Amino acid sequence: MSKVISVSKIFIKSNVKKFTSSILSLASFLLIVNLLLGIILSTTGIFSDSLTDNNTMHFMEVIFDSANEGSIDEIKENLYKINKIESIVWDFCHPIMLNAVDSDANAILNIIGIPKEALKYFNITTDKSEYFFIPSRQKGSFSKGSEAVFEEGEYFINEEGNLDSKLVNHQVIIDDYYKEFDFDMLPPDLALIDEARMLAITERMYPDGKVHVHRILVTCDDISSMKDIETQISQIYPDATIRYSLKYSKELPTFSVMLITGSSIIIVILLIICIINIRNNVNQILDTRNRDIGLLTLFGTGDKYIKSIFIHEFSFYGFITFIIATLSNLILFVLFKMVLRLDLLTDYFLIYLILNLTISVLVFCLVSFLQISRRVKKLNKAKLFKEFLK
Amino acid sequence: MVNILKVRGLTKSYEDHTVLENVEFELKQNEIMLIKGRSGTGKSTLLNICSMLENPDAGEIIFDGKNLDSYDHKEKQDILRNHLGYIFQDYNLFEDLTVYDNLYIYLTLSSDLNKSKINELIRNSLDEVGLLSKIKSKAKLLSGGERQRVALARTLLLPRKLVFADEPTANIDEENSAKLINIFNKLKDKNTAIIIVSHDDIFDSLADKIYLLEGGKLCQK
Repeated sequence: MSKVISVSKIFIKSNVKKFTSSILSLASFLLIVNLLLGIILSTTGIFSDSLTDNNTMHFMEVIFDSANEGSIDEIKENLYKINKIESIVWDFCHPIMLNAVDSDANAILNIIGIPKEALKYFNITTDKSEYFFIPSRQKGSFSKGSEAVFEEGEYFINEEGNLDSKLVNHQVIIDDYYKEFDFDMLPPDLALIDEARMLAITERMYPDGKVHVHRILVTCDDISSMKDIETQISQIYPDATIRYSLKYSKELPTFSVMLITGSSIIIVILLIICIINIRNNVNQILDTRNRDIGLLTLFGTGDKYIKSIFIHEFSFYGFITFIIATLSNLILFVLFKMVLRLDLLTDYFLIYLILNLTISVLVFCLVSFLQISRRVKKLNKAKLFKEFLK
Repeated sequence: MVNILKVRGLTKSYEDHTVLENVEFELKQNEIMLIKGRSGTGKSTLLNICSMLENPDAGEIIFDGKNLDSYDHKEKQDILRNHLGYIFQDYNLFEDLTVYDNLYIYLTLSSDLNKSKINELIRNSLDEVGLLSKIKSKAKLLSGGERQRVALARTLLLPRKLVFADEPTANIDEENSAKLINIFNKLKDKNTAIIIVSHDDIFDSLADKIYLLEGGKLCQK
């Protein structure tokens, strides 16, 4: 190995200037690839964040006019007939003062009953039938598994047989925290409680014990069914107002899918062009080195040695290309950030590093290896010394 | 003396043109053989076949008592590396490298010597060919005669059993040709057999055997 390295060093010292143009050409190409990739990634990233991975897309708001306001049981019975509806969140969201039992901590939160099926949209899951989740920003005030209490008013019939009201403490255990997201259908700082306890609390807040609902949220796993669900709900409640994200931006997911598919195709095409470009560069370099290959063979140097000498040399050129491409990428993207306020660097720098290293060193070496092997084989098989030593 | 090379029934054709026809000769250790002939008669082809740079259509080449056909690719590389030397009319140097690097690469790949021994051998051999002062010069900046002497210095670095010289005086002047004869004598003193292909009469006095290649046939003069 030391023989190979010392011979490679000699060739590098003598040839590096010759290959400057090839190195710069590949580095410029990588810079363009990085730039395109950065634009593609940032564009698809924006769409991905705001559309495809956005949990709010799975919610549909249904507002009933006062004539159609009904009990939750009745609404559920009607709507669960639509099989694409996954869960129904009835809006009885209201503020509570949550006090920690084992400390002085407290927080004002908006409590809402969330069916187990809808918890996934808050990025949480549980096997329990009774649960209570608070926003992750409350981690400092309420520890996981700790007890907390909140007060709710409830109606009751007093000793005189009259309707009266009182404040009742409700004890809960903090099961976990959820990460809040921008959800314009519900207020912020939600405390998520299981549907059964919420219903029990809410029923006692009505003098007749019947919960009347003005607004519900339905969830649906398959967002492409939203339109269909809307149609079916409209058939049951013709005067209901229905609102969901896709209703106003229904073309965008298609555009997003097209964008991601298109981007993937562009990236694959870029990679293919990149490999062809490297292959041409390597061939161009090797054409000027046929004589060296012929001479080394004439000296009785083993095929493996010849390949190793050239692979070492090409790895070095590849590494120089990687350094130049990455540095120019860094400078250009920092300028973009400063001048155009376009940040193509922060989130994707590691991707550029890996891509540049892979293409400039690994692909460069692999292509070189294949090309040199082909030439050495051809030389030995057809005894092309005359042609190689020209 | 031991036969270092024995050639039997060697034939080579390019398309319809027969270049070599049933060529036979023997070369002993320490012998210098001169092959003469007009241009295009197949002298270089004969040399290339004997030095394993080309394949014959028929015939056998016995090197050091063993038929070359019985060697595998790796064994042939070992012979090239350890026993054969080449001097070509166009020198076959790494043109972009210095004289030192040219010899260093050859020695590094052909031996397991350490760097100080390699340096010593390089200096000695350049001294022998009178080129020590050009050790750091790039090969492409040397004159034809100097380049030919670098190629000779390369051959002198390690003991060789057989050296092939193809038109070694083609691109050099008379003074350098005389130096070349001197170096061939030194090689002979080191027990090296030499096959010279040339139409230059300068080698006539040096050669132990002179052959003439004409119409594909090799005849001893």
